[in-house]
Amino acid sequence: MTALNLSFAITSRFEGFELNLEAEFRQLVTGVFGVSGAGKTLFLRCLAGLEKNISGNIFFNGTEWLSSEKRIFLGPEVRRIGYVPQNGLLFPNKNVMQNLLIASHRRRTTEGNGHTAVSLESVCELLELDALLERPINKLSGGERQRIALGRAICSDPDLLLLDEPLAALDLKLKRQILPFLRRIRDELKIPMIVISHSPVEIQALCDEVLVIQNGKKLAFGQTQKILLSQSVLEFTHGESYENILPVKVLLNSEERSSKSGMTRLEISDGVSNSKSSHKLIIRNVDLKAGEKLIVGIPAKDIILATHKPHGISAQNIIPAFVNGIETVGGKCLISNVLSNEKFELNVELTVQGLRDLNLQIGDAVFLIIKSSACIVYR
Amino acid sequence: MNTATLDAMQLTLQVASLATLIILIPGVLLAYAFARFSFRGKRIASAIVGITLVLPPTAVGYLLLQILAADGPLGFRTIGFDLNILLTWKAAVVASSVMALPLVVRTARVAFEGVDPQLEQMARTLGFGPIKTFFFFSLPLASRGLIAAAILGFTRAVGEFGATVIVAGNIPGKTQTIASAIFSAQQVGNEKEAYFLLGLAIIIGFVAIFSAETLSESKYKN
Repeated sequence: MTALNLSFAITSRFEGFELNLEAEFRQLVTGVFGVSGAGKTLFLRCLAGLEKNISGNIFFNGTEWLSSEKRIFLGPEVRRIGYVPQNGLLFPNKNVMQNLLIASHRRRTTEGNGHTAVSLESVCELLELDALLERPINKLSGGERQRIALGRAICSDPDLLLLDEPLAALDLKLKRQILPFLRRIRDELKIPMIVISHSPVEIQALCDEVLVIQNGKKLAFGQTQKILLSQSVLEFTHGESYENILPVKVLLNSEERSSKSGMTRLEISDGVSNSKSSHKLIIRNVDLKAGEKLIVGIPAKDIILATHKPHGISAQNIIPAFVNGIETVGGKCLISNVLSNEKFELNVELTVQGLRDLNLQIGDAVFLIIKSSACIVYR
Repeated sequence: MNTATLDAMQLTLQVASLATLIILIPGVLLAYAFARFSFRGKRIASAIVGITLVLPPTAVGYLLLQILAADGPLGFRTIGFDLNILLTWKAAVVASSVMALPLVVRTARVAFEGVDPQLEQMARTLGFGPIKTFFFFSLPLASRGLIAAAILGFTRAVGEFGATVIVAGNIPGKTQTIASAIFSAQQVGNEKEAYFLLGLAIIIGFVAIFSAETLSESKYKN
């Protein structure tokens, strides 16, 4: 059974801009990636039924949302979606609780499509909204607004969540706070999602597949890592260095953690594979509980690659791996490496000179050297 | 204070309240249509609704008189029975309604234009159809401006003179309002009564404009 069954071929024009897209989304979470002005928001509004100036077809789980030939255009109120626009758009005349309650109207009055509806209480728990419920909307921070907008969308018991840059308006600290909430929605509620982002990190952390849009057209579509590392996509994201995203589990709890060393030990694990052969990652002390699952980001430019195991080095992490791909983009080389247990991949950014000096070939055994301070914890 | 003055006060409030009630719903609907939809002839429709704001009120009165006169489109010879409006308090209601409508529509239109259309779209995605969205979201979000519109409409009706005096006359105890009573008091040189009515008009006007201004400052501006 596929998590989602959405296929579309649409054309929409907006102020001289033309969007022209065709694809089939089957995964639980699909990313829509592209620079600003690529047409991502317009695309999401087309799916939501908010753009009248549209032609083509949209099929969603056996229902025709749009068919120009048959003159079908389903209004947004019958598409059963949870739309979260960039600015959240909370109703300013209602407090937080009332915003959530008005969204619950649909859940209380109609039947959903398969998955079980989530109660308002569990939404509040999941997104940690309890303390905010009585607040007026203008007394909320950016991160709180985003969480409430997400919560409101979930309260409406949608068959599909449409998230427009859920993290874009937030500063780095808030981004790291919201990202795990999105992962929780994905892992615990299993509501299909389409997530717009211009950040490769977000896309990697959330999406099974990604659609890359450029100038209103499809540039690439497919499995997330493959697409994000493909030449054409790397070219236009190069301002932002590629960041590796790894799922990890905390090994030591706070008592066991040696306060003298100030380090926390993590295990690189998706929770499925057995832990014996898994690699460990040592990061700087953060307040984590043993067994806690989170994700860690490691920028590709912060990993050092060595062909021999180094000795006498201050970096805490030395992970054996094999080279399985070499790409050169705009004067830099991206070396993809499979960790020695063949479960995870880490990409390393080198200069062309660096690549030449090491004389790397696919299949070579290498060591990835990672400073503990280079690891970014998302929780 | 004589009984004619008391009658004028009572009649004024009665006429203005009725006129406000009559024009509020169509005025709000028109305002919403002007604020949200683009349709053929929108500017012409908007100009027709607004024209009494700039016409001499006596001109509007004369037009109403022609419409309601025996041979007019709504006269008894045309429709077969007598509406019995002219020279009664009902004529004052008609005149005040026509004169106050554009003010209500304009103020309500500004109120609706101040509501972010994206909030209405948000409501649609949450499962509310266009009509429910209007009642549950657009109206409450614009409510302060709409109350201001009603207050301004009421005040305009209170102050109506030119059109009213032509269709309803200025009959003390029957069709005389505060406005026409001031005119009569001035004509006969009754300064005391004129001053009293003047003070009353200023108080009503000040309270109305002050509250309308206060309400127009949107609470929800980001």
